[in-house]
Amino acid sequence: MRMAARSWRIGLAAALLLAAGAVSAAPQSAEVQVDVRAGRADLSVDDVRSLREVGQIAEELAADYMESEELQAQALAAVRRVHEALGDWDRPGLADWYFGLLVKARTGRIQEIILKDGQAAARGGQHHLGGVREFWAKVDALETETGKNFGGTGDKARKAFETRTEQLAKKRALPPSVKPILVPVHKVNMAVLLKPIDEPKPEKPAPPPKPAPAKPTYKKP
Amino acid sequence: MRTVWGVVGVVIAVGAVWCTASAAGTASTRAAGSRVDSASRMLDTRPRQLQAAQVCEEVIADPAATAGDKVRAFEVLIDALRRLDKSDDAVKAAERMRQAFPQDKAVQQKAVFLQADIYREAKKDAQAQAVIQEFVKSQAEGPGAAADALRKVAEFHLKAKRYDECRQEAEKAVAADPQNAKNVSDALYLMVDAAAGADDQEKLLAALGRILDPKTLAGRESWQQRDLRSRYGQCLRRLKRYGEAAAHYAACEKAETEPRAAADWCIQAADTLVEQGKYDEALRAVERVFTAYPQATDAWSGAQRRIVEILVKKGTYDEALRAVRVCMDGSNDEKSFADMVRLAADILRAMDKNLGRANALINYHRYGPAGEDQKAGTDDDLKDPLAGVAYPSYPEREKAFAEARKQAGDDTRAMRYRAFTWLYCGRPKEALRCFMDAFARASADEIVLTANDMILIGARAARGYAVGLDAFYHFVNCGPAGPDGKLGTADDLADPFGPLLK
Repeated sequence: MRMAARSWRIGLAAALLLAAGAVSAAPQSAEVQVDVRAGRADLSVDDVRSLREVGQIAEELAADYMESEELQAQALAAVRRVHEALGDWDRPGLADWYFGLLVKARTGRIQEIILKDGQAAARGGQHHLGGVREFWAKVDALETETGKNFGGTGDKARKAFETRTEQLAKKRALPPSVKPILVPVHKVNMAVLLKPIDEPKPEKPAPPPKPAPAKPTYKKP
Repeated sequence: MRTVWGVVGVVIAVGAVWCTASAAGTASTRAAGSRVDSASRMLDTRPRQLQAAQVCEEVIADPAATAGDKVRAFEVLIDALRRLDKSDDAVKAAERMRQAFPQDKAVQQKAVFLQADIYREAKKDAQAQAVIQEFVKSQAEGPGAAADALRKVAEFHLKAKRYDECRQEAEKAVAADPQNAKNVSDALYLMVDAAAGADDQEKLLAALGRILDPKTLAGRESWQQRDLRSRYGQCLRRLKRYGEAAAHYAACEKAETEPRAAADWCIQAADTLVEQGKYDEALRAVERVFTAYPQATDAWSGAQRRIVEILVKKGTYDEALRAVRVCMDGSNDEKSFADMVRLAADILRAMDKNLGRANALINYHRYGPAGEDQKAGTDDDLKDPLAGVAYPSYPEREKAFAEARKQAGDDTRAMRYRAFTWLYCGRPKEALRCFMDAFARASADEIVLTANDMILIGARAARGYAVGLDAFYHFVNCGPAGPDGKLGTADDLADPFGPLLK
């Protein structure tokens, strides 16, 4: 029974990855609203509905820690793609959902994906990274609170340690490979790139013809 | 029973001996081959070239080396000797190569061609030709070998800038093996280069016409095919056969499978029309880049610039000034933006016949509206001379872009694409919204790229100038709460994007 449910969900995961790229037509739904961002991506009401449906299934798969790491990673990728398409990273509770996953994440690979996508959720559809700063402050607090080190690299040794003894795993914890993003300021100095155009130099008037040297005149001594 | 075991023992022993011998032979062959390979990688310095030559001599003398290894060893040896400036020794090595494989026609040809190359390098053209001609007369068997030799002679003539002789030999090569498309194509290529070198447009056109025959052209890479077609069109234009050039470009565009390349044919067709003084038709041809190939974003900036240049040539400076605003907005970086500002300044200079407004525009973009002291409300504040200049109207482009936006997709890249479609319609505010949207959708890996687009292209286009964009970066990195991350404190930041969207 468990196996059947599993293959059904795997099939769904594959389908939802495809669906994230090209949404198939679904029955019209009156209650679904196309918001500004979805409209800007030229998504129809049906597209939005389908994406939300597959997003929900992908979220369930991503949160199921009985599933394999690979399937979880794929489900998280599908969740990210759905939010990218819908432009709804500002959905209420989304950042908290990622935090919830982070605490339960078993492998460094999954932690890394959650930390990356969690930053997008923390940005909340805003055009600045203020929320991401808060996100990292929360990650720090969570690490202090739980004594865990997030952001492992999915390294095999660490996985092995995790399955054996939690204590040892903590000691071998790798530093977070995901760092807060800072957009480096691209300095623009137009004063160097642009110079005023010089007035064309006036043509020099031709020098007056030199007077012919006076013919020497013989002076009688 | 004992006999049976004896037979089995003998079979096993024979098998073991055979396997050992076979393995030893393979090892020896592999050793010779790998020794030649390593010698071929030792040709960078003089001492190593000498070492490589020594290794090759050993392989040539090795009775266990295969014929293939030996041929390759001769080639590497000759290469090493040529690099060592030992041309006499290299010629002798080529002669030895010929003698070592007297029955192998391919090796004979290879050795003769190498000998000819060495003679030519040593500026002994007569000997080079003599070797090849002797080969054609006595050894070249079959049309393929003769054609190869004739092309080699043509190549020598081309390098020596004897264009007529090159053409004649290439023609002979075509005649020697006319059924071989590669031979015909290579020979015609030599004829094209000879005619181009001699600057003989009629002959160039004739050679290009022949090489563009679909059968001949088929063996060429797609970029070579495009290059040859482009050269044919340019040749027609140089001969002022504009009607044929236009038809040629139209056919090229129709046959093209890649939108970017098709857009290039539109530009070349437009250039032909400009040369004829048909400016309005030229403008329509360039506009096709946007309307027929809205996927070819790489072609847009060049096409818009071409529109400005045509309008300047036409003398309609007002329209050129409107069109150049789109060029400025569509600039990808500050360097191309500066180029477009200079282009706009040139138009103002041409309009006004003085430098007043041109330099006012340049200074505005050097210092921004606050002027050189960077303080608004002071005497040196500057005004944008293009402030009253409206954006151009491109109804057909808008229609094509609207359709393209519907098909663009729903990811970050699609949103960036949408932003550019708005920029090239003269709608920078809409473009900024799309750039901001792309940033909002972006994954962690795309943050820096989309932030740069949003600020350096989107905000700059919506503001109209590039000075002081640091404030936008500061806001993007910190958010409204400022560096301390706490709202309601002294370091809170105002959103600089807000006013641009109103």
